[in-house]
Amino acid sequence: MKFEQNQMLKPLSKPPVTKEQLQNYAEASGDNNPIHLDDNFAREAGFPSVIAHGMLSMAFLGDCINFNFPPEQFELKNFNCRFKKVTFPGDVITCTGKVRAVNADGSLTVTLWSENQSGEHTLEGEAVLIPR
Amino acid sequence: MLIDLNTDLTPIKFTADTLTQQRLQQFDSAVKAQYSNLAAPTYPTTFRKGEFEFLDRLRVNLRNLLHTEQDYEYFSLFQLGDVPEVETQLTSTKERRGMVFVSLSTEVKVKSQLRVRCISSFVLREMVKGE
Repeated sequence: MKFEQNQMLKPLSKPPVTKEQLQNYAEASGDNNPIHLDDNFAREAGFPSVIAHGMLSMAFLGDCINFNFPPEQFELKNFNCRFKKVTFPGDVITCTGKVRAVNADGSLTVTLWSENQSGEHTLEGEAVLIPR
Repeated sequence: MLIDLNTDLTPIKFTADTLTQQRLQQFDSAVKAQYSNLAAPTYPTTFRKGEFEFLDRLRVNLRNLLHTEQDYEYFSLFQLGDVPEVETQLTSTKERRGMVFVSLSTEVKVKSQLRVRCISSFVLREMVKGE
């Protein structure tokens, strides 16, 4: 599979985030911060309801990386992101990106982002992958 | 007070549970992963116990905490049966304009071989109700 600079990645849309998913993610990840699980706690922190774990949103981006760069063909070396906007239950997140650079050693530097149903970026990040 | 640095700042070490198919599947199921390989790229987030303990030591009020950035550097692949050895340390704190910026670094090794280095960055700010 060959990639070129500025090539857009195939977008990946995830099912709407649900409170049940936040509960499941808390159990699977060990992140039980009540801001993700308890509406009253979240309101005291200034939000209208619980908010999704930032790391859940980053996991969506990780799935988008695997979708575009199958692990049997590419080795992921770096993956980072900045959390730009919170995600709420009901939000529909779509992840995509583009190839920022095809490096001299053959590795790819990829710009990634996820956006909600309003087109607002919720995460922005970058990954470096090496073809196997 | 957003943070109390007058506390034990020694790195936190622990041995995580053995990596099993069941654990990986539980994580994939929670994130509704469609294109997972053995361990999802953000699976190392399951080794953040030391981070939460550090935030507790630092007397951080979780209402004031925002996770701002996350960085992973991968060195070798996780395998089923791995028994991860995890070490988390506080790498920086900076105060600016009434906010505190905190960075924690976690290394995950298996039999002394580095699997992944994780850097989590947070900002602490006084939360105004209704903000």
